Amino acid sequence: METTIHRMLRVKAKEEVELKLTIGNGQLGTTSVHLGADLICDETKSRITLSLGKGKNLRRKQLRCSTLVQDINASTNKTSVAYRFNGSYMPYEEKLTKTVAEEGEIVWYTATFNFY
Amino acid sequence: MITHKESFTKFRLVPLIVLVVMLSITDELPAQDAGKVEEQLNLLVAPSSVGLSLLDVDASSVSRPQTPTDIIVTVRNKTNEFTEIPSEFGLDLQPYWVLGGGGATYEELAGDEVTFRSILQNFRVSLATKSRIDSSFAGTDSLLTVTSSDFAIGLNLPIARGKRSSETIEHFKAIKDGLKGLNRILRTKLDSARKNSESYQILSLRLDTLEGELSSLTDAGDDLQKQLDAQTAAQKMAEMILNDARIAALKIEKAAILAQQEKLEAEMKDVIFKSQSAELEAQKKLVADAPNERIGFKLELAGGIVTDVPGQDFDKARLRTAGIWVTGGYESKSLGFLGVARSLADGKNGDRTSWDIGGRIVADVGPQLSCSIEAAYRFINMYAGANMNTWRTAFRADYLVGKNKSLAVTFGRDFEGKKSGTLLTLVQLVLGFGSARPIDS
Repeated sequence: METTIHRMLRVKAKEEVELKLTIGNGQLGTTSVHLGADLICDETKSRITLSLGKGKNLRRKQLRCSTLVQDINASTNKTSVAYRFNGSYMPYEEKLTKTVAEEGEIVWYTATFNFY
Repeated sequence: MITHKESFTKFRLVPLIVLVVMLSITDELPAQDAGKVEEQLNLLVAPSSVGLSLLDVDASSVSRPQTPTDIIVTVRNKTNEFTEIPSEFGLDLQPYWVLGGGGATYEELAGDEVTFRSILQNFRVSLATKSRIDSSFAGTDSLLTVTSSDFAIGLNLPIARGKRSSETIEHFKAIKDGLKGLNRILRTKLDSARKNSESYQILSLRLDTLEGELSSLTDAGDDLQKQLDAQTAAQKMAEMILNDARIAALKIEKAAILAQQEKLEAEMKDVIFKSQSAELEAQKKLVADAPNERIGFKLELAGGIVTDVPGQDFDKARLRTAGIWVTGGYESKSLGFLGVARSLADGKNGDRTSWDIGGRIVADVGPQLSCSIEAAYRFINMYAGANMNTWRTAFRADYLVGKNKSLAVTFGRDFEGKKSGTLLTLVQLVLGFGSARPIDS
């Protein structure tokens, strides 16, 4: 039921780092992503893939994701957001989930990643 | 959403396809209210949850669990810790969603493509049981009555579901825009709260320093690893151990800082979220009011069986009722054509088995009223002494009387040779439950 995470990720200097974000359970969601001060994504899509650049350029930068998910699927009250990075030293994949009490409810997921 | 609401719109589905599937019943059955069951199932549509309709389970006795744990808890409660058969109970399940459904996206759900996954997502299983006083079981002693139970299982497999109407698409665009706007407000407020929180900023500064230290130490560790050779092995190893120890200490500190930041941010989010309650309610209402109209080609298979357990003795269980429907057709904005091939079996040695084929035209007369005319041809009828090649014709009007309630009135002429006679009148109140969204009539 966690909806707020802060993580530090060690990224490979020479590799392209990529974020794949997925809003699951057939729910509707919108995501904005800031890399440092720059807004690099503001989309209402379930699957988002973002190329963040080479690892060496990301070190000591912060990536902030804000995702709002609304339960529009009458078949389930579950909501989820999954984050996956390519280009990190250790494989990173994490899924946040929350079950709402009734249809139409909104869940606010935020994830902050500090690269080093 | 798609699926719950669609269950109430099946009368707008439409024909095509005629696949006749044979059903037969060979076991002996009680002369129970076979006529009633058939009457309930006689409309030219497959029931939205076949298992529940076959036993006419009351809506208040139906559970719609969303997880395997919900199923176990519900069944355990209803059966008094698995020790007794409930007098009336139904389960309506969508296996794909009960088992997770985490990988499904909104675009798949809203889309109109027919894929294996879209079929699985809409697949529905209904299970029901209902007890009754069974005087027929008493044999020659008319004073002796026992409790018998019926068990039903039904499957609904919507294959093609049409595509979303332009109104539905527009409405969901408004929902998306609203959500995007809300996210913008919330994230801006959160950024501002982060900047204004001294505690958060102190932690961020320390985290920034930690990142630098960790980065250099891990790079140094990698370099030491590369420099490892026979002559300097012992010295380098010692340096590496010290380096790793320092990294481990920093990681512990890092984890503590991140956890504190998470806690602070969660508190900030809670305050911000509450401050936007009016906007959140408005957004919620948009979903509650969302139409779910699908137009175009639709096709559904449905089937179910009922097993009778006289005296609740499972050794004496026997198949009693079975039905199968193939429903398909085309629906436009205000007009629909539906075709159905159907077989219903309910009687001793299959002597109440009938095979029908029919069609239906549905027209929306106004925003709240829709009317339909249907005709069905019974080309095989095993009712004892009944006529073959008979017709059923009916007129039905559905009037939306509330947000998710509709009143349906049906009258016409039934098949010949029925116990219940040939004049057909039926008044039904259709209630949408499990969702606050309106029934789409």
